[in-house]
Amino acid sequence: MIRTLTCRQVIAALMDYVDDRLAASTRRDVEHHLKTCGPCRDFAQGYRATPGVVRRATGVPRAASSLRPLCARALKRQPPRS
Amino acid sequence: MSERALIRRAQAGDAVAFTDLVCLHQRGLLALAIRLTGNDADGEEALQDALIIAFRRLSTFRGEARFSTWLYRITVNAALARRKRARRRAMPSLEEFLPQFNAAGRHKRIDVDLTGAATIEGRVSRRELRARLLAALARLPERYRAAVVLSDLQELPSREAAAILGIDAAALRQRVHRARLMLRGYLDTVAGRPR
Repeated sequence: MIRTLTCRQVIAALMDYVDDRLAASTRRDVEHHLKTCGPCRDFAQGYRATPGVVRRATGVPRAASSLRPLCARALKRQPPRS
Repeated sequence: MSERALIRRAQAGDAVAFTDLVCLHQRGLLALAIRLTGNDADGEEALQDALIIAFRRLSTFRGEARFSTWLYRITVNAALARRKRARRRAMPSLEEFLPQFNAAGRHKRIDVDLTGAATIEGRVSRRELRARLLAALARLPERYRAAVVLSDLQELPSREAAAILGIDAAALRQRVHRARLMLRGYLDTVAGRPR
């Protein structure tokens, strides 16, 4: 039997839904809600996309990634070992 | 040379071995520091702070955790500390972008495009999106920022991300979820197309 969930309940369960960690019955309830609720469907689509969008946008370009100069500067600021 | 051998040599004060050791993790470390501080310059400074601390404390590394976990933890702390020091003016928290519901538990606002996060990459230039999202990460409350950066952006296994933050896996998931909600809402407004 399908349980009627509110949008708030669905959004609260979204991470577990996306990661496939919900019990089968709860998953059915969430899927039923998503079929019938446009805003939640759109919301879930954006939620799924968010980690990838932020990850791709905020990465470090390969050319800028050598830490050798930075490491050398850090070690220069090191007091000599006694 | 293996990581273990590099650690032994670095612990004996070998700066070259330390540099080689750090370089094994360089892309991850730099991205981590930039994402936590919100810009390239502060990220590099924070990482430099972290490397100084790591070199000083290397003798205390006993190998109970992975070396990368140990180094990431130091970098997280250094980046959050620098972010606090560098804060010039209070920025509004990203919490304003959390979803809102009416008394019946339904979405309060359905007049905005809720799919912004899924479509934004084609709409905004990469350069602009990078600048906006780094600034947005800096506006996340600290506990959520560290969790989402380690888990979603650095893609560390949950157990490792939780260990770095000293919290359990359930708390980590809760924080990551909340951070995703804020970032998702923020992306809607960047995509910004009222229906």
